[in-house]
Amino acid sequence: MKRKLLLKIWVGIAVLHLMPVTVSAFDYLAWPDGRRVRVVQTNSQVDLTSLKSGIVGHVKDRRFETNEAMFLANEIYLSGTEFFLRASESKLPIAHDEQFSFLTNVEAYWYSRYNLLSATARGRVGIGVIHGPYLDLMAQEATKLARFGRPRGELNVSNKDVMLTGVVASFLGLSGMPQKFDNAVPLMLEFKSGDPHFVRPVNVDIDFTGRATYQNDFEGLRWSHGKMEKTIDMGAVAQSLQKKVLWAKFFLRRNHMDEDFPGKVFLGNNAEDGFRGSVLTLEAVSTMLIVKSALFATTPEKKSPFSLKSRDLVLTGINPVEHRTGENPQFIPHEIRPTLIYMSDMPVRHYDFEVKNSSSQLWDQASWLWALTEFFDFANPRQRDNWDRVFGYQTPYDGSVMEQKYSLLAQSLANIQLDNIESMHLVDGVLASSWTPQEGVKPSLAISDLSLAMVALADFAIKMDLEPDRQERAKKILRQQADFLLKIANPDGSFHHKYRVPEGIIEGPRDMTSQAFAIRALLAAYNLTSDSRYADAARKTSQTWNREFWDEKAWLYRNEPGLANVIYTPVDVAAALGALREIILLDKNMVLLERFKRFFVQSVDASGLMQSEDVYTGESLDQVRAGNFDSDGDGIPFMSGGHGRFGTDTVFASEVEFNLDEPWSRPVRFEKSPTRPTSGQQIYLQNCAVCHGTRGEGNEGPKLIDNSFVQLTGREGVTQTVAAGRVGVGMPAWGGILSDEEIALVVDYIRSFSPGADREIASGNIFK
Amino acid sequence: MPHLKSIFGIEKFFSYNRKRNALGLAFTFNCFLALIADAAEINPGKELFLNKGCIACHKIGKEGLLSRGGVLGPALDTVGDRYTPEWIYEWIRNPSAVKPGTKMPTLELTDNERAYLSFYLSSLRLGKNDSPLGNVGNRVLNQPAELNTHAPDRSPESPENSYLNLGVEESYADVQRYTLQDQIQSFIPPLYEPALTQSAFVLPPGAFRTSVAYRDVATMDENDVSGQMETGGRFNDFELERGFLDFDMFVGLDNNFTVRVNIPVTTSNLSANLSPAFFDPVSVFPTGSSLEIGDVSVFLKKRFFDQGNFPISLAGVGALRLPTGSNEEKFNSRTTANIAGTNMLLPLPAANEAGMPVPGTMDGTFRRFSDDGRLPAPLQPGLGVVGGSFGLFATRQFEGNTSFGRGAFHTGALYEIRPGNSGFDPGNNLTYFASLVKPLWRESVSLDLTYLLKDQEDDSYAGKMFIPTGTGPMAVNRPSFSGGTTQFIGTSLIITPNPQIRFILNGLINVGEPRLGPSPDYVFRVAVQYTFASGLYKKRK
Repeated sequence: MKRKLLLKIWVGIAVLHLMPVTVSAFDYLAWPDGRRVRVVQTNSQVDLTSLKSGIVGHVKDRRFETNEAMFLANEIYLSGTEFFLRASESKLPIAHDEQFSFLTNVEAYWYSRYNLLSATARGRVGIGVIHGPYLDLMAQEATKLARFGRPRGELNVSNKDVMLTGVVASFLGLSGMPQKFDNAVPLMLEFKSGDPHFVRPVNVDIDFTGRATYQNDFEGLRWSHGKMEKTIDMGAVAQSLQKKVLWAKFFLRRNHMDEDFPGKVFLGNNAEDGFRGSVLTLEAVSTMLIVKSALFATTPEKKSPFSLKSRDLVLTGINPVEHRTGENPQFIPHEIRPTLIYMSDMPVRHYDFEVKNSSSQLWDQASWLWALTEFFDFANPRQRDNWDRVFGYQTPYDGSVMEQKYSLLAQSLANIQLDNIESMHLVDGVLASSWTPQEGVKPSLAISDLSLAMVALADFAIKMDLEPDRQERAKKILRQQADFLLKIANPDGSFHHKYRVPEGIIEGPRDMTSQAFAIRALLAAYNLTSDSRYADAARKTSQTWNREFWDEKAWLYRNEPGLANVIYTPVDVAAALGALREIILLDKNMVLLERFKRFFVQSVDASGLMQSEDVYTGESLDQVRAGNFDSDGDGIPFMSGGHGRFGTDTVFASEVEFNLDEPWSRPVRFEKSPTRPTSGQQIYLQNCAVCHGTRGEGNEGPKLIDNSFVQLTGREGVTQTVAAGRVGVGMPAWGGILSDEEIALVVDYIRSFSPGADREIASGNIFK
Repeated sequence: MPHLKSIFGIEKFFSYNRKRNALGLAFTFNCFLALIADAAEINPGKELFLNKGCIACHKIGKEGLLSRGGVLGPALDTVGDRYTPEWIYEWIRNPSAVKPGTKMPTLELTDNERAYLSFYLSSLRLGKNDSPLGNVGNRVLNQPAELNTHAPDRSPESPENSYLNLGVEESYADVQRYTLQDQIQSFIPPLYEPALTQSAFVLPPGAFRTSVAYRDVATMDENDVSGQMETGGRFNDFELERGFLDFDMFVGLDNNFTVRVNIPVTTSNLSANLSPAFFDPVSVFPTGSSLEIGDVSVFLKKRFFDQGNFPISLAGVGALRLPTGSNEEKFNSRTTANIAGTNMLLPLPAANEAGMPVPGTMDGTFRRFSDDGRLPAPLQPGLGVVGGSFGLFATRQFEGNTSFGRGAFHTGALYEIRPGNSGFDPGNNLTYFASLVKPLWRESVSLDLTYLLKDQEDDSYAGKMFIPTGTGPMAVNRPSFSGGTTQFIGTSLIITPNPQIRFILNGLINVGEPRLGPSPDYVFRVAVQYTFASGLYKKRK
């Protein structure tokens, strides 16, 4: 038995080495009539050995903590493709850096996307949109329509299942997806935590669509309902909301056409992205609506003498447009306890909500401000972008995904968040971490809370363009906080975990995460105000941080200088990645870019933080079927080969640990000599293939084979696109990163995908 | 609004066309086709502009995606002011023919695509609002979302924004609960409900369920009552037939309550051949029957925990049993006996305290259980006095993702208080049950495996009974008729063609006979349930 398995592995490895560069068996999904649409593609692993120090961490806690994991997923998204695009915008010399391209565009990108998918659509770690107000409102509308028909049950209130079916069908039509995902439960309110172990085998057999069964049917990917912590942490909900909005924006940032549907323009980067983006938009609106309608905490006007529960606050719905901050605050509380009804394999349903923790936490409020601002930017009717097509005035009849009116919901809720932060969390102009209805604001501030609040305030000040007054107020608070940071910084620029406000008396240790959060916060302030004092302070903090906390051997930041045990939660990793990203972009600091790559590989891959992966980051299903669960050799197994009997879902663990005192050996590395590539194909593979596919077949970027744009616009058109990019739809401007000769080479190579291009040049039809 | 759009567009076109020539007519026809054929398609002109390469050389506007186009050709911000759609159409079709020597290439476009593109480009005018795309006169040509560049209507009075008041006047969680009755299909798990026993499930608020069940109990013979007359005699022959008809009504109330009203109708037919005190020459043939409505019970079930929040669902029940049924059903007035081979009326007198026959009572009444000849307590339809019961039920549902698949396990206990009345004490009753429900086929058929254990206190009867013959005293205290532990295992098939109707077939086998009293070898039961899912609950003001 064992020998047989070994043989299988050997054969598998042999086959792997014989295989061409990429085998992408999942590029297409077929419609029942045989027409095909593009979906997301698998990626092959790039060699990251040179970024590994050799020390391997172990997972201390495998639970998925929604708040922390989603925060990391957000930061890692911003450190992913977004970082790559910003780096190219800043003309960082990232050309031919395959590792950087792979880490940002594939690993960071997909790890963030995995966490999105597992937690909000497959694991059922929360309450689904089926029970949300969006479908209630739809049902009411349908009830009006149903009066035209014969009287049925719909006359009363239409069945929400039917409504959801209709919504999903319209999403399918808009994106071109041939079918929905079975047993998916898109969530609106996430639970606090869950155990990501699967309770059933992952089905990797090919189904009728040509993809693995688990990719189309999520039934085998559920988590144990009994092992979830069924409290609703409102900070976690906000972080999830932010994540949904970020990804919906990415998925829907451009449109696509499919060869088999000539002339038809579908939403999304490809069919799958378009569909997922639409569902995420539905989730985001459902979340905002249920919070608005039922989850604001307030002091009850009259306490019922018959009430058995002596809660200090009750939950209520508000009209966010008419809301005024007054004596009796209405705010989003820290934790809510739902009373749930459980129907086995049906999505769990809420029966009632009550306040569990009635405090107001700055982290939560800032998370909400951040997410709501992002949604407003997504739906903003004044910005002209591809998302105008997502939001319409006659949904779904005008081909839009969601009603434009919900931008007002996001806007007014974000206003409430800003007003509440101002009125509940400010002590003499300095923010404080916590407020309770009994004691009011507590004069204590964690740098992590401050940092997120400053990032959110900066975002608000930039994006909330319908609220100029509030934008100014946000800017003012942000400046106050940044000045406070300048005031409390140690002489070497470092920070402590916690401070008493407004005096700035130290209350906590000088840990690595606070340095990172402080850098992120200062640079958020700098990016908005262009006040160089903030950038200087961030540089100083960064120098101390990178000098005293960075371990040159293990390529990790120690929690505190001298501590041999390095323990990371997702928040620590998120803070460090965010700080590195911002400081790299500030100074075009290539030393730190190298450190970013190493830290990423060490803290996310080698630590075990990312518990498992799917086929999109290097695993091969053929290998999985042959019993090899880590065919790409990156140390992260395919999900069914993860920890536990049936494997672990592709989510972040909540705690990992390294022991730097233990001996370890550095892996053997073959340092590649940094020669610049000479052929167009090499340039293409190293810089373009990650989005456009190794053969130009397209992935998140459009396909280049038989591309009519390439054919029609000739060399000049393609050169201009490569050099100047397409801002807003994800194409970086390569001019200044690639040399003119390199651009010419790669343009020739790209044009070779579209044979028609040369013919037309020869006929002299273009640009004569 | 695609239809309105296309109609508007055509109308617009005809107004252009009046002034134009045959070329324009052909063009209009193409546009007409394009509009009709692809009326539902999204923003085609702009899309073509992006995808067909126009943007490589032309740009539109000062900001946004289109402003980042190329500079080889002229900017097209206000091209609509300079050219008509027909002209643009012709120009795109063959630039060299219109303007020899132009740099503009001939694009490979279909007629429809050209029509869209010219439509779109002609809409680019210098409008009053200074927005390159915001010309309201050409609204039809564009994506609606593009044109609505104004801020959303902030007025909560606007019908568009009525959603803002959701949950403001009344609790939204409450509102959602009120509408549950209409979502009964996704709410009651008919497949997981046990067929015979209780569960921790409650009905959703407003749901009203009726149920009719008939239980047919195997005819019980002398083997089933062996030992129950140890001191008083033995049955040579015994036949007891019983049938039970149950009418139930359930109402789901708010706050996890379900009220149930149970109206039982019982039939009993008893005939026996009894040899008192082992004196074989004497046989008594008591017969009796009853058919009557029994005690109506009202159950109130409250769910304490749901499995959504707790490892199991837990519910408690309290019931009141009203004395609507009689406990005075009697044996047939004349009990015949066979004494030494001769059938005759048997004088079975009542016995006094001293054990002596009471004169004047030699009337053939069968006084085994009372002096007035009543049937034993288990065969009486009622208690004659208020009784009650209380119990605790637990349910654990299995997730569809375990290897067992979906299903549910129910267990619990019910304690019935049955006080004595007029000399009869039927004894209290404790029932334990465990039941495993497993859906077999889709949402329509499930199987239920049940174990039932009923532990009954011995019943007791006041007074003494006279023994006509035998070796002992002439009169003894009336011995108990029934008592002890009975166990059944059973299997049930639950058929639910739709979630509101359930047909249930049960079969139970006796696996543990009680110490005393009759117990059937098997029981068959058939039940029909119908749930009215809406219209009962009135929304709270």
